Amino acid sequence: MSMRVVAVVVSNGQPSYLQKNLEALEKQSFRIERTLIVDSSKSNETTELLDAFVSQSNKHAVLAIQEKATFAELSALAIKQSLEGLENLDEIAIWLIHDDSIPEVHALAELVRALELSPLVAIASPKQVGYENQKLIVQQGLTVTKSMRPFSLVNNELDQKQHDWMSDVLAVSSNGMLIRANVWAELGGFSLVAPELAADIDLGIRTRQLGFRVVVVPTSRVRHAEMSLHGKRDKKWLGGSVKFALAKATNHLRLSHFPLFVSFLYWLSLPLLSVIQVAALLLVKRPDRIFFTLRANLWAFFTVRARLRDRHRASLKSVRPLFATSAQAKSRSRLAFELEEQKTNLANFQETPTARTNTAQRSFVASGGLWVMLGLLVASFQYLPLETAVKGGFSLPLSDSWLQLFANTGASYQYVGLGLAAPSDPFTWVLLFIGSLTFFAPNVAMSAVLFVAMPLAYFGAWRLLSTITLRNTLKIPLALVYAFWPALTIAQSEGNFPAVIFAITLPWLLFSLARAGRFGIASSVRSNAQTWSWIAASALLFAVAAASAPSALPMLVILALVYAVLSRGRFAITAVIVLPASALVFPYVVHQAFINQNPLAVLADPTISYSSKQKNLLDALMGNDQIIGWAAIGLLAFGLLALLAKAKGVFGFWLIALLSMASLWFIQGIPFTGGGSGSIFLDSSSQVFASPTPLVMFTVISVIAAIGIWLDSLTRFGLRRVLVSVAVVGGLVPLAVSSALTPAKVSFGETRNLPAIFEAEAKAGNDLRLLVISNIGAAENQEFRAEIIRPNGLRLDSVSTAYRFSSQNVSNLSSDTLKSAISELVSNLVSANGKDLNPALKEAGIGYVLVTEAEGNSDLAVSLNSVVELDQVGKTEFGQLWRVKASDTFEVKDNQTYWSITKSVQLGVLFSYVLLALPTSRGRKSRTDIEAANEDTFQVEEEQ
Amino acid sequence: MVIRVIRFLLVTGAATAAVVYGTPMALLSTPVVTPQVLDVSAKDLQVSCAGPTFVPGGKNQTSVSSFKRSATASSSLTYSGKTDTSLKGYSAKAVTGFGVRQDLFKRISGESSFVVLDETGKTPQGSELLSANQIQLASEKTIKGLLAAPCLRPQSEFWLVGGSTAVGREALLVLSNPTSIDSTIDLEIFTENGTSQSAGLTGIAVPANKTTVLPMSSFVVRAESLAVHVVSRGGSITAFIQQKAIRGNSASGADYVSPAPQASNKAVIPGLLIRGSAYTAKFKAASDKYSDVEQALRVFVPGDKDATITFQVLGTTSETFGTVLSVTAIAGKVTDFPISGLADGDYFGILDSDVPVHSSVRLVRSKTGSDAYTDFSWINPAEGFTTPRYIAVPKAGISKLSVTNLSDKPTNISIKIGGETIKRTIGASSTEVIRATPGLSMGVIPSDQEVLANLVIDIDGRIGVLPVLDDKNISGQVKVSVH
Repeated sequence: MSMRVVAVVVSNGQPSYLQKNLEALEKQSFRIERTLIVDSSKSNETTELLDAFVSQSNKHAVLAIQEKATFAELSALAIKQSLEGLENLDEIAIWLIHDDSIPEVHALAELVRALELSPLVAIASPKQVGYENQKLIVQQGLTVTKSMRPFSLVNNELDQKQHDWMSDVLAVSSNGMLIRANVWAELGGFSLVAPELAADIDLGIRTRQLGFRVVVVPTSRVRHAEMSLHGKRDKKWLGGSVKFALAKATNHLRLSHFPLFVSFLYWLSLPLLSVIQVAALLLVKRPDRIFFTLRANLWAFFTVRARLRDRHRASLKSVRPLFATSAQAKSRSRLAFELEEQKTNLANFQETPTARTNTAQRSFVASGGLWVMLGLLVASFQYLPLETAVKGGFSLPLSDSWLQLFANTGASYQYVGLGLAAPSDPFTWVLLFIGSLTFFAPNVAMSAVLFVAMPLAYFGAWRLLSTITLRNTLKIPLALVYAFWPALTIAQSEGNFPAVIFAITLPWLLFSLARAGRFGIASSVRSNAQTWSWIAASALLFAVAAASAPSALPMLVILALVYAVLSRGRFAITAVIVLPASALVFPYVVHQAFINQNPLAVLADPTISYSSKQKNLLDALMGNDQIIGWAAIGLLAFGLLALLAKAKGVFGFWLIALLSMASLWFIQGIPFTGGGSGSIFLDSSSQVFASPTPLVMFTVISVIAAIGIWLDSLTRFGLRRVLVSVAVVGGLVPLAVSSALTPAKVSFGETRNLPAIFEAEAKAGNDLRLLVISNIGAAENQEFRAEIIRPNGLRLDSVSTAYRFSSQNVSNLSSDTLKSAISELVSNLVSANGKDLNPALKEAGIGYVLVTEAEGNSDLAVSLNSVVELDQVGKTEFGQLWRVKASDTFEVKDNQTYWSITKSVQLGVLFSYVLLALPTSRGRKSRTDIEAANEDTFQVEEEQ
Repeated sequence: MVIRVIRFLLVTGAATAAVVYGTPMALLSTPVVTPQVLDVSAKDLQVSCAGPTFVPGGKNQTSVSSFKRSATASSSLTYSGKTDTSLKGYSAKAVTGFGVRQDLFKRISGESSFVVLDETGKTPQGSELLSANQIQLASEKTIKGLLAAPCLRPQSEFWLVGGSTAVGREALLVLSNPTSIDSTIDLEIFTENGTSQSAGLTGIAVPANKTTVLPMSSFVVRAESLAVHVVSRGGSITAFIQQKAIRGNSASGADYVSPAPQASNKAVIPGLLIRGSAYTAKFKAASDKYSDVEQALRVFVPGDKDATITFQVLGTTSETFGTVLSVTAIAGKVTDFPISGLADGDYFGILDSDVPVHSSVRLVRSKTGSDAYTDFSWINPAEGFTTPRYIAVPKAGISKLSVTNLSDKPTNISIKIGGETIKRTIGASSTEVIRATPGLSMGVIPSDQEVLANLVIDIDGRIGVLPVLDDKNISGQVKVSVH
């Protein structure tokens, strides 16, 4: 039986391609009975071309369709139109062809032959080869994986006839497909509800389920530009990006072809599955797929009725042998991974500057780094955490339980003082991370921070310098200079955790950014996955730095901008890097700027408002010891000589150093509000200043980097040795001695920092509060400070900077009734005037009253002794304590919650970045990333 | 190269300028915590007098475990008589204030409290409202000398720097609890040998409205130099040491050691009025039993760092020349430093120390011959004040108010004695000694500088010193900042 063929060309605004396509149709060796072009574009050029084509023959026709029609609708309409008036459909085949393809002369003939040879063959498809490179097979048959993910059987392979044995497949591409008209009519054409990329496969499956065969005919060749898959068509054509279209196709096939019960379960589990998919994609470093995966899942979840309408009763069992095998999928994954690695290596080869020396990069351990770290640990002997918690100076213990620490982190309500609906300090996330290292006793890890501060700072500086120089003789002394710098030593001695953590983080952040941006020498980045790991690590370190030192925020913003410019304008990557920091800081900034109406408060140091003096730049750079301080200044002056050297980058680093100094000058000019929670036990003044340590360390690391570049560039070994010796003897040694001899202002002890009886009652579930009162200044001033301490105690993670700047703390307005009531209560307590205090004590839920040991408080104790509502408990190490007699009848409950919306979002962002930062082994990647890799190879990368 | 040199010069210039001229300017700031100001009524002002001296109990006054009161003490009060107030404790019926200051005197036979009842609770308190003290010229067989002490507002913590339990010396710790709440006392006793570790120093009960007398010798035996830290829990108390000397078989000298201020680096002791210095020297030379008949500075150094002390004794007139002690006091111990070489005259002392110390001065008066006697008084550092303070002056003996101006500028003060006001100018770093009118209270009203004062009482050569205090409860405008 000889077949009659009707050609249907689907055109969408590509006149140059269409013209070649039509020419190729005219040259076909098999006669086409009728050609119908369905065009959904409105371009004049296309219209003129089609008019000319139609005028050539009366067998040609054009069907102009409104632009928003889908491919399935266009083809259905066109085929219907083309078959009109034709009889005996059993003898007619429809050749569906895209406008961006050029069939070879015998393409149709070969396809028709396949249909003629076997009546069971309903669909025959040509081998799709490259439009420009015809030696490349771009597609030859389609199938699905066992999980119903579309799978291209051949993809971008050199045509060596290695696939010419292929015949039966599950489905084929619609381009060049020759389908029997009667089968088409029986099937009803492409599914109108299926996404574009699922429609082909769906048609193939349904054809197979009718008992027909779907085959590829390798001898028939069609050149195909695959404009849709290359993203060269309007995205509306596919209903979005290629990746999104593919994800939609997968979901559609699952919901419409899985057994009903499985489909239903799949639909139900889509939200959970989305989370798992996101985690998996992060783990395999494919964050680029997250957005469209989630979008496709949402699309499937909310359009499930349409998917179910597309279900058919037939089972998949008969077509399962045509599914892609595991071996095929793994092989595809491996090929994709190797291709990616090749690309990265090529990029590295092009981007990495030539090595400056022939010296090999020695590892940290091989260069004796561990011994130096051990020495630094010995030098930090006074911070050896012999007890659980650090106290004194800036430090307070963390909450005893990890759950309480978690509850205080990222909370939206502050259970401190009078209570405040405000976000926690972003720094609490840093505390949670440290506390989680020893989750069974969070304070243990916190105590160790001061001990390991110098070694970690040294290690970070060493790693940063390893991107600048290969010479250990430079890396070790310069990294030591950073570790011994007076500003870090002072912060360490004062237990200023935010400043210490910033100083540790800074060099690691810069190192990580260098790796992510492939700056510096000896980059070890070998794949996109590693790049993503470094980007995520940079983002997390950036968040730690921003949360630890808000005073350095302006400099961190400058750093991000410089990074974006240096990394050839990769602002999107920079945005990815600053995202976690933004997520942590944003609610806090909004609260300070708009609710507290105090934008400057954003720059205030977190934790307690420890009394600190304003420092000028010289004092800030020199530290406390004026003699040793000049050694530090000398080192900075030494760094100025680097500007005279012919070394790239020195001037840039010095500009950053100058900007840091300018920021320091600006920040030190801002007196911040004092007081707030936890301040009553301190000699805290009404105004405090930010710690200069973060910005000093910013300056120092920049100058050290400049010195490193300069000394590394020196070609005369003798000169370099002399200069290093001068820096070591004149700068490093005095700094080291000063650091080792600086006495610690903190002490190690048990975590308790409130009277034992109060903490014991709190642990037993009694939520009574402690009212702490202290005299300010001379007794005759009659000025008192009072603080409400809640059962969660006086802990570093419960201190709220937002509360410190809130009207609760700052204002004297009596708008807050509780505050006014407590003020009045305090005044009546201190005057012991015999007024009935029980109502006020009950309203505030106060169970204990403590008078601190501060000077001038003895009169207070006398007054409280004569208050009949109080029973004296006795003298504690924190002051004199009284118990409220009637407190047993008070009903107080702090219903502190563990979750909030803000916290969930922040945690989600951080967790995502942690997953992304975690290094993934190639084995695990190859297992987990099979599906993602298949997506890549189903079509050519969209971004190409 | 030119570009590099230009860069070098620019960066160097900018960095140098930043470091040299980089003093931050406070262009911006965040709000300061503003306290709420509240008007509160005060607790009624109460002062308590220790009462007459204690002598050993028992039939022959030989008991060492029981004590009894001896004779009566004379209390002197000055009450402002503000309207809407009344004085309770002076007589069976409260004395009603009618706007005129009243100087009152009462013989007391036991611990006594005087309370100003304030209906409004708004009347400013302090010595201007009520000030009281007591004196007793003891002439018993077992105790002789003038004992003077202020009547105190009950408190929870006291430092008593003075006294001795050496041979022939008796120090009784008198703890009175004038409140209605039982009190439990903890003691810390320091001597020339350091801190006492005796048993029974804690948990000493002083029932409500009772007085407990404790012989210090039961804690520390033969201690030449005492300093006692008294801390109460529960009801507030008053505390004194009743110190007496038995020289040979006869009593000779007695006084109360009154509470001293907190430890400080600087202390000023007005009222070193030396008389009979020649007699004193004779006593001192005569026998070991008069070994403590000399002026002396007592210092207790809390903490663990020795104190380097300079004590200047300065004369109040151009005719009196003082002396200077430059000494080191050992940390944790009580040390006496004799002040020798002072001729008769009026002096005041200024102590400077590199660490905070507690201090006091023993002032001695003696006379040899047929009417021989020797008496002493422990003088504490005075409190500086800039607001008016009043002190009741006993009717007996000669009383002199010694007022010191420590600043480097002269200052004017007004002294109110009865209805009269006299004005005096006190030179820079100088002291003015003003004779009081017996029985008429004195009001010291500083003008612009802080002054310090003690009242020295001399009855028949026996001496006692009273501090000018300003007891008051918290009232009026109170500032509270709640965090």
